Amino acid sequence: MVAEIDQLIMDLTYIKNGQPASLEKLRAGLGTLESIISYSDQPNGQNIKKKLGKIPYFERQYPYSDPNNPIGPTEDMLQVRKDIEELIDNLTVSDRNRIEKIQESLLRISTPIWNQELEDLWPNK
Amino acid sequence: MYMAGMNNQIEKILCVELLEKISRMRRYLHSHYSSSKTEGKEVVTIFNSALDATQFDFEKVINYVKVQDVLTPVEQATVSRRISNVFFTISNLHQQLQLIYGEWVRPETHTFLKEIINFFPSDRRKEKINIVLTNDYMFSEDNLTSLFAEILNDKNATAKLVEENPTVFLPKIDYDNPLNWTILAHECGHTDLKGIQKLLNNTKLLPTHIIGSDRTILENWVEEIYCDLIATKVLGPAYLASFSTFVLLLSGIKGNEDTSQTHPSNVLRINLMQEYLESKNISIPISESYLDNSDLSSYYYYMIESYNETSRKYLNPRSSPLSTSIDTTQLLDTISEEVDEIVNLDLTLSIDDFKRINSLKGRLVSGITIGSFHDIEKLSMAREKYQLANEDEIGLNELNYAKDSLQETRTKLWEIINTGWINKVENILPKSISLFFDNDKDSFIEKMETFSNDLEKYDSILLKSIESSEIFKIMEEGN
Repeated sequence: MVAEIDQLIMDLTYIKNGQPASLEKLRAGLGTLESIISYSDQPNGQNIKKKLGKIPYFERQYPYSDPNNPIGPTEDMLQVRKDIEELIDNLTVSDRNRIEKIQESLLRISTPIWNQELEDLWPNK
Repeated sequence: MYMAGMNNQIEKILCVELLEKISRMRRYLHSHYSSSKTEGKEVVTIFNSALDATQFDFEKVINYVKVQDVLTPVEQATVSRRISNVFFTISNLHQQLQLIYGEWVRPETHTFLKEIINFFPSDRRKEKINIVLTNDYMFSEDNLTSLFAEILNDKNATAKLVEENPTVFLPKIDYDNPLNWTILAHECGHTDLKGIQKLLNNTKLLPTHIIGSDRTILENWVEEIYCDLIATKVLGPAYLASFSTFVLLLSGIKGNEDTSQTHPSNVLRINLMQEYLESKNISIPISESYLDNSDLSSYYYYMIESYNETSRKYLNPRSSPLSTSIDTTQLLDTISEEVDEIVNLDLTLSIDDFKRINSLKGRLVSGITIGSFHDIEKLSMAREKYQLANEDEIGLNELNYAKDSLQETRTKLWEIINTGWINKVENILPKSISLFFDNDKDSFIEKMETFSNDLEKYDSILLKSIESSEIFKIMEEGN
């Protein structure tokens, strides 16, 4: 999951710097972001437990142990999704600052997931 | 080829380090395949396909770093995360080397370890430390007897096992990479149970009021730092360089400030090694620099520091498992004292010793083994004496002096390893960075081939040097 987000950040750099970039790749990255959002959108279910249940960041953000409390996306994620969608619709909007803000948000969103992936891949190190 | 002030310097260096791992795994597989010919061919083919796919994926990162002038901190963090991801893939593939009939440990590794053991005082020196090639990409030490006793789990059966069987574990792909064997020197430190116990009884390090889990954690940390300083004393900056590249690849955006129950943070460990080297005035100048630091240990030390800045910005390190604060100066002072006491003083490094490294470096670059050293100064002095002297003035002393000046003397292990590291920083890395990031002529596969051949060439010279140094030693002892 994080590898795709990283690819998305990298693809955004190409756009930011006016270098050849693939719109398809950007869409694929957006798809990954969508999955993260949709997991966190769902009420307390198996998917969430499986995919995000172990991630402390999400536990803190969305106390899924409470069945009456559905998990909702953060403002951050929704904003990033909106920003990227706009960017795809209009690639000429290559405002450096704006893209850098999106990249930073993407990094922030994916960091807790990355930490968990790291723990899983390289435990006790 | 000049690297100072280069854009995205750490990222480029780490990309090359990672390509080195891929190249080494291919070499390991190839060496197996050529020895077994047909059996196991399919397994090797699957491995190679997996490496091709990893390499292909990683090429995107290389191209990204190549075309961007200067990466922003977010982009740097992303690249470091990608590098770690590929490193984990390599590490997971490495675990599958269990499917390959492995080679035995090279004789040079035993020679290397024998040299390290000799630094310990005779009453604490192990007769033999086993070396096992492991499928995990990690360096560790264990007592094989305890390991097997746990499996037997039966008092009568256990009693038949011999008392101690210290063993160090070396990742398979580093089986012919002496520059990373430095970490085995750290692992040898774990076998010095007497030295470790002495430190654990020291109330300056472990005051009596520290109890429970805090005490256990601190005991572990003291042992780790002790082993680090032993390796630093025995091998100089080469150990710091080797340890740094390993943790830089491993850490990614996670940074190096996290601590665990068993290990202090990498930053603290490297910091203590660096301070120890500085306190002994051990500095090996290099022609490359990182943020204006142009000696071997500072080059890597500041790279770690700078890498941490990025991670600090985006990630809060986990809180320490230790509830009490520790005095790092006290740690360094007390543990260094012990290290200085135990490591044989006759074999320590001196500034004069470091002077020879420049000549050795030249030899290594020219493809000549560096297990011995020709003292050019001595030779020219002998020549001068001969030119000035009349024929009847040349006596036995002069003849012996001339004979000595023509003979090569043995170089020490730390000289070989540090020269190897300097060659890596001054020669291999700049050449490889230029190859992968500036060259648009060759295909990536061609570049990998050039890179791998170069690596193999230097590995082979270093391995021969370790052996020839040992032969010189045996001859010296014979005389």
